[in-house]
Amino acid sequence: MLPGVQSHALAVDDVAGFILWADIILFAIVVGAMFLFVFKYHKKRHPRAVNIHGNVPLEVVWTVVPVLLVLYMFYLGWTGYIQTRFTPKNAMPVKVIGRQWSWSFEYANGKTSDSMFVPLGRPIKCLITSVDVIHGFYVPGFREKQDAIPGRVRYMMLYPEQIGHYEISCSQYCGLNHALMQTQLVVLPVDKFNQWLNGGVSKEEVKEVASGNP
Amino acid sequence: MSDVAFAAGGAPHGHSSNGGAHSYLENTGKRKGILSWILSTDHKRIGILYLISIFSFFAVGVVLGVLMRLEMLVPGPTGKIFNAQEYNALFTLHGVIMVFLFVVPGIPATLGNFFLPIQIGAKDVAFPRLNLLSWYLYITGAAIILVSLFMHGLPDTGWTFYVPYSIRTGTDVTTAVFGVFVLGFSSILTGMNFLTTIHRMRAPGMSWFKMPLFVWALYATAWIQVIATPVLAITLLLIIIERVFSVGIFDPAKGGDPVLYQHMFWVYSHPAVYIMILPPMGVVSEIVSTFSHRTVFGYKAVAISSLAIAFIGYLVWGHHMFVAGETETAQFAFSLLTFLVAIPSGIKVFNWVATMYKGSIDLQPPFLFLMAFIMLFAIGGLTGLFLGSVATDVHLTGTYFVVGHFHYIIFGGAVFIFFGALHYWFPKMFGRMYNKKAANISLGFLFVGFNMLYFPMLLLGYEGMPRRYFSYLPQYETLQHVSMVGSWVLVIGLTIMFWNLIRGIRKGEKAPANPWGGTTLEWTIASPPPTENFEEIPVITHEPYYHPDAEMPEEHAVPVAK
Repeated sequence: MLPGVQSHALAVDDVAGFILWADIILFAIVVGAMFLFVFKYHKKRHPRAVNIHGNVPLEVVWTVVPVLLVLYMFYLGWTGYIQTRFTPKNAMPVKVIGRQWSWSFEYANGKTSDSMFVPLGRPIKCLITSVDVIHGFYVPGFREKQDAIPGRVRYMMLYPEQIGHYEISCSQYCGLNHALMQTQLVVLPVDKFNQWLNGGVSKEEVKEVASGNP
Repeated sequence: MSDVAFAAGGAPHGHSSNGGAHSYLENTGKRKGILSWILSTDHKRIGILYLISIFSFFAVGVVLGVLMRLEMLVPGPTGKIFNAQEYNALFTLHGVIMVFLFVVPGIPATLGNFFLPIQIGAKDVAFPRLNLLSWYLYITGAAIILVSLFMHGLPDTGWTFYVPYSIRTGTDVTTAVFGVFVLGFSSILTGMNFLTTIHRMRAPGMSWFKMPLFVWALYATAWIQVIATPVLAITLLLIIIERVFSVGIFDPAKGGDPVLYQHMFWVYSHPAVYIMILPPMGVVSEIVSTFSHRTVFGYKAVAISSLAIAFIGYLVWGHHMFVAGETETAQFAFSLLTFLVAIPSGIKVFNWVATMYKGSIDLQPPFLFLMAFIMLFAIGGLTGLFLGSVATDVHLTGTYFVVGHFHYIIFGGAVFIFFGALHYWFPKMFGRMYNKKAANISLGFLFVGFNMLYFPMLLLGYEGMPRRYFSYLPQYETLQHVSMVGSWVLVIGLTIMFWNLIRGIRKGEKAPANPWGGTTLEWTIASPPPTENFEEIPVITHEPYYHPDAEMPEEHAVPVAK
């Protein structure tokens, strides 16, 4: 499975886990009842059917109970999502620019890079846009994505909590080399990140620092 | 003819001739050969024309799909069977053909055309010539799409034609989009025709709540076709205008808004999902009642839920765009509405399963297809909950999870029941029976192959594999291979099934008028039906699923609804 060490990724997995268990139970009830009825009321065992036209209380139950269940799922999904939409004061902005077919990342001091380097523990505000067609900025390890739309800037928060490498993919079809529009998010210790940001150390060197982790 | 519905249930094994009236398959008009088909205004012949054309395109779509899976033989961008451009064309054509040429016209154009007038006791649809025109529009649209393939390279935009890529690509999007535009009119006219037919041409005594549930489903579908399809037509025209005249509508480089396109596209294309799934839901109600030999549980709930789905279905399009820069308010509303649209579908499933309760179940091939449908559609619906919830959708949208989910709904749901419906109505349409054992074997292959093909996609998607990738990372290799092998098993199933059905048309045993003990009006007339369906228009006195030999619980001792 995916490395899911970031607390938001774990929160998404929890929502998914709840839905999965609810799904398994619902599936077992419906399909189990179907097989039970098919066996029990097979024409060999039950040659004469009973014309039952319905049952209003039952109809109400299997409307209201699922409504409550999906409202709870909605609530989980919504709260799980909205927690990523606040911008903390210490957030570091990074411009994320999609083009056919590569990503580039631009930092406040003007430094640009084709891989995304971020310091551990500091919220990152990705300011996402595109220079040509629509792309999708997708970081599966963080369970987050946001479309990169030409002419618009959209934001997405990342909370790096563990040093390591994470895949970045393009999730919105953008033409010929859509599948190759992949790069990496590298979470670095703060001091290494600052060295890299200020040009003191090459990207190969800092990538080395982060390897050995996911 | 006052108790036709009664006679249908009670005397199923009559001979298939009908007092000397000619079957629709025999030529009685002045035209001969193929002209007697392609110039016919008989709804049954038009239904058969659609069947042939639609399944021809389905075969093409299947081949393209299998080739797409074959591309996943090795990970990474090198050593591939197709290069990136070819793969992009493959999934575009697979999507365009399967969506616009197969599933959207699907059951309404084929079996709806054939059985809607018969089920309501009419001799034809309200506008037979318009009906034939719809088929010609379908063929014209399809031909234009085919032409687009040979003009400036295969279109490579995906079936969604997202701007600004679709405006900038050098491939021939304009022609392909125009083809889809023409197809849209076929859909609109069919919808109008069905609406008028259902409103005006029901047999005497057939009140709304005595209509078969297949008719209810077609009715709800027709409203979506008439109201939503013009939005697609306008959207596609705007793409053409932008490409041909360089007017800035959607391309931000020309001052347009690319997200506007997505709104307009999904305002049609989400309701279109219900165009695809509502008619199969109607068929399920027919099959489950016939083979359980009892009335449908909660008839009104099932009928009304079709309309509820059609209505709420208009309000959820924004869930395709959670990551396209929607405001939090929009995300909140669309997520909530999306969860609510699941409810009427759930109600239907519960009622179908409850219809099996205390039935007398006959495990014939159509019923086995229905059981496969219940399982696959349940997985499709339940995986949809992950996509309705915003937190999980943000992770899963644009990945294989979505591909797996909608194939469970559309292929596992709609198309499996389309196959089930073919097996159900086959003896009525052709007056012969296919080999039932071969039908069951084909279903076994289809079911196993289907799950091998699409279940791994759900897992791949959760692990972060984006869709529309010709190349993939090595960690996905095992699941990609399972999926690929699944596509082969599925093809074996399809081959056996179509071979069996086509063989059955010529060589099958003669089928009686009512081989299954069905109670709706089509089972009261000969197999195959005579040219004008009914010698005398029946008068309806019973509910549609009145099985006379079933036991009546006390509160329904008198078997009349109202």
